[in-house]
Amino acid sequence: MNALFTVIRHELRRLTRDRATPVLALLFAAICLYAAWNGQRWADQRAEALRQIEIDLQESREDSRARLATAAAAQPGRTFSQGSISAGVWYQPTLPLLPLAPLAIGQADGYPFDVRFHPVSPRTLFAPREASLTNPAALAAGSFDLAFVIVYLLPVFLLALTYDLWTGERERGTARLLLAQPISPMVLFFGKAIALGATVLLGLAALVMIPLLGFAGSNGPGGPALAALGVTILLYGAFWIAVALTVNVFVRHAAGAALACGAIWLGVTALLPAVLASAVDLLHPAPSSAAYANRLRDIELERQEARRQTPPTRSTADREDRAAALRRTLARVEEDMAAYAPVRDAFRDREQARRDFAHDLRFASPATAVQDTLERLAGTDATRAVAFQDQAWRFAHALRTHAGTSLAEQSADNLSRLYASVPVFRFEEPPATTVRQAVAANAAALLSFLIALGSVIANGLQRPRFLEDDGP
Amino acid sequence: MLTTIIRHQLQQALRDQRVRWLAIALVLAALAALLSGLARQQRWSIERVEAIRADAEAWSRQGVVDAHGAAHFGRTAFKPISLLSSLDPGLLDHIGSMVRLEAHKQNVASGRPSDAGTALTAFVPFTAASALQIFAPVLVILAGFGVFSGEAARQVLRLELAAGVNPRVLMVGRFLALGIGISAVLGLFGFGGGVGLWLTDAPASDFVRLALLLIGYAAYLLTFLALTLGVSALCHSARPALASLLAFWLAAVLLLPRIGPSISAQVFPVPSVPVFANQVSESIDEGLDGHDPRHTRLDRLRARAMAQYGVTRIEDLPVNFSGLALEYGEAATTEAYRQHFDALFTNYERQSGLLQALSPLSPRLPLQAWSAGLAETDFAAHRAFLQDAEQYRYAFVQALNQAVVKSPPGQPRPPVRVADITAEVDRVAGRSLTLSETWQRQWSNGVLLLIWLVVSMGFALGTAGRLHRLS
Repeated sequence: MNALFTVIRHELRRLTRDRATPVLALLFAAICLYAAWNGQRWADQRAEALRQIEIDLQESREDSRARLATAAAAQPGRTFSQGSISAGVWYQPTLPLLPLAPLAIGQADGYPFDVRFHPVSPRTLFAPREASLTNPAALAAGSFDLAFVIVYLLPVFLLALTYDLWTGERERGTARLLLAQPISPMVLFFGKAIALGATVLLGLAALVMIPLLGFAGSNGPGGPALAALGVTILLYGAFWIAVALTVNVFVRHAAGAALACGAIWLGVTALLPAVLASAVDLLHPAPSSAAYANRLRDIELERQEARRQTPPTRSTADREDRAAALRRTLARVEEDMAAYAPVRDAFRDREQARRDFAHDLRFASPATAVQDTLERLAGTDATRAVAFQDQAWRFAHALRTHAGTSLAEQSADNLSRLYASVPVFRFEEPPATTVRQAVAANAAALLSFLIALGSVIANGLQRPRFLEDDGP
Repeated sequence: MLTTIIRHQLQQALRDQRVRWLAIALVLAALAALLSGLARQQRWSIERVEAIRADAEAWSRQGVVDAHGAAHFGRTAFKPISLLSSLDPGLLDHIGSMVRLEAHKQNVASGRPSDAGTALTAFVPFTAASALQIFAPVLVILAGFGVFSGEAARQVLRLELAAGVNPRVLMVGRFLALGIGISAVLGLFGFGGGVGLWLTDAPASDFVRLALLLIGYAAYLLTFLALTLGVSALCHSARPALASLLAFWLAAVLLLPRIGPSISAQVFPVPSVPVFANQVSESIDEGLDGHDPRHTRLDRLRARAMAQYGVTRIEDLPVNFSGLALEYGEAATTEAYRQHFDALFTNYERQSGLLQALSPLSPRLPLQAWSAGLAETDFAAHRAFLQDAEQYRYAFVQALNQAVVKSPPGQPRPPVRVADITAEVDRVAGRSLTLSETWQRQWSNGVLLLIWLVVSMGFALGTAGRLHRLS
């Protein structure tokens, strides 16, 4: 054990004396700071958009209330029901941000974060909604957030500081001296790995976390999310250190090791995910939005034709007739929605099948598994966005049921109270276990990559060729 | 002498198993990506034809209906996909493939392939363009980083120079030898692309586009080759040469094209969706100058119409005033949308301009714009489609409004056969940018690529003079 500590102490001293270390650390810190700031800026803009939606909605309801109040003043004795008020205003459910949103912009620009609809005219539920007006060129380039730093750049800096962990000793000629010491090669090799790897990894992980927490301020994320983030970074970093170790076991020159590390980095972070994404496109192409839009129009025509053949009974001033007319309208909307449902369900099923396939493929590369974890922790993942759409859809249905069953008439004096009692959408976060399971599955994938590399390293260290020395 | 050097270098490159297999793998992967891109382009094109047919059929099926109701029912314009998009899909995944056209509203394009994605969507997809832009430079670096530095370390360079070879001739010879390899790879793409264009009866301009596109890639990869040879000539061993070249690749090919759009979006921010919607609504309600409310404009229209027809009451107008109001309102909302979308797209262009200003730091920035521009997968091509679609939307909505104007005043509007009314309006064809329009937008990127090539070649030739010191 003493020997191990000696090796670790020696390596730490060398790391701190290396002139490249502070330069790389400073560069990485600057990149992390910019990425965290950029992510926070995006989150602030999204929060501002959510506030704007809330303000607009309140203003529109206040206008509606004022109009009804004026009408009631001109028509003494006029009454209103909770149902007629709830069915007469616009709704705009929104997907709130999670505290870790600045970590990964993820899929936030690919899914709408609000749904706007009117209970008796829910056509807008089918209209595509833009999540942002971001320049498509910026979307194509990808976001520069901490997730990008963790997935792409953390490995680069880790590899830059560890790629010649053993090949450097070989080239300097010190490997021969080290192997001549009364320490097993295994202890020597892993001692160096622990010293360099743990120090560098913990340092870089801290550089990622500090700006994230700094920008979050008092609204910071909870302990479990931070712990999951920390564990993910450490596991992913450990994977890359294991890559450097593996390369150092098999490659004999520093240039070759740098080349091999670079090639593996390129393969894992860029080539493999790119090929996986292309495989998803090829094997599970996205369902045609154009065909979907046209099918919805066909149904709209069919419904129009059906309505032409059975024109609705016009409501009269009579209270009972008004309630009956509202019930009839809501029933008609339900029929419309039932007609649209199979087409919508079929489209969404195909989208979901594609997503499921892509989700399964993420385990093929540590980079995609980590990206998935980061998006889930940030709340910018596909699963949460789809859950929001489903909840908004169910809310629209529940609203119609509520409107159709809250028809007790009340005097105009109660208008403000009636408006205040309009149902409010509240997003229910998917069960914590769903996120935990996905994060744990990704961590298990990382761990299995790590174990696989560990066994390759252990086998490599047993090879007689590892102990051979080429000399300086 | 030059021929001998070229032959010798080519032999060496071919003997390098590492480079040979990587090159074969890259070319095969890129060609597979090209084929997969072609399959996707064909699938989209077929879907588009079917979607256009279904849209036209739905429009006709309406039969005899209220003209303004039909304007709200609307139509859809579907974006054409160029054949060259199979080589470089550019922004296609992030711009919509169709636009819903309806009364009173100018919609943004929807149906983006990147919508409804997963964590995989955060990664750049593998396409022929990404293979050539991202991975091919690594191959060039691998093939060239040890050309001089490795020889210097092995003491071979000293022998070559002692044999009386001019260092500059040595540099040019090796540049030409590896350049032949690059040209051969691009030639393969040119041949494959050319055959694809020929089989699909593509217009002659597409062949020119393909040729220009490949010239851009040649300039880009030769730039990397010259830089690689130059750095190799500066370093005493292969290790620092490789490290510095990979660091440059990382910064110029991966980091800057990612951080650049982020910086330009901060310098020229765009509004959020609700803010943009509010701005448009305000312009429609309060007038473009903010001091001309909708009801005042309607009063003016009423007075103008009565004066034009010489009557004193709206009821006496020989035309349907609600039709006139719809026509006038459509013109006003269209103008409001046009102004706000123009402002938004101008911001996009400013962002692109800033990105272009960063081109001296990365040859990939001008190449990205050049490649997507020529493949008609950039925002300029998309905007041409949007403009075309908007022109059609305005024309068909106003044609329907004219039917309302002509309907008997003071009576319920009689339904009309809308398909007959809009038959005379030209159907949106999805206009492509002409080659000359593309050239006007892209020549500056072409010049930037050329400057990169000339400067890097100058650098390589300059370092050739230091080869004596290296040996």
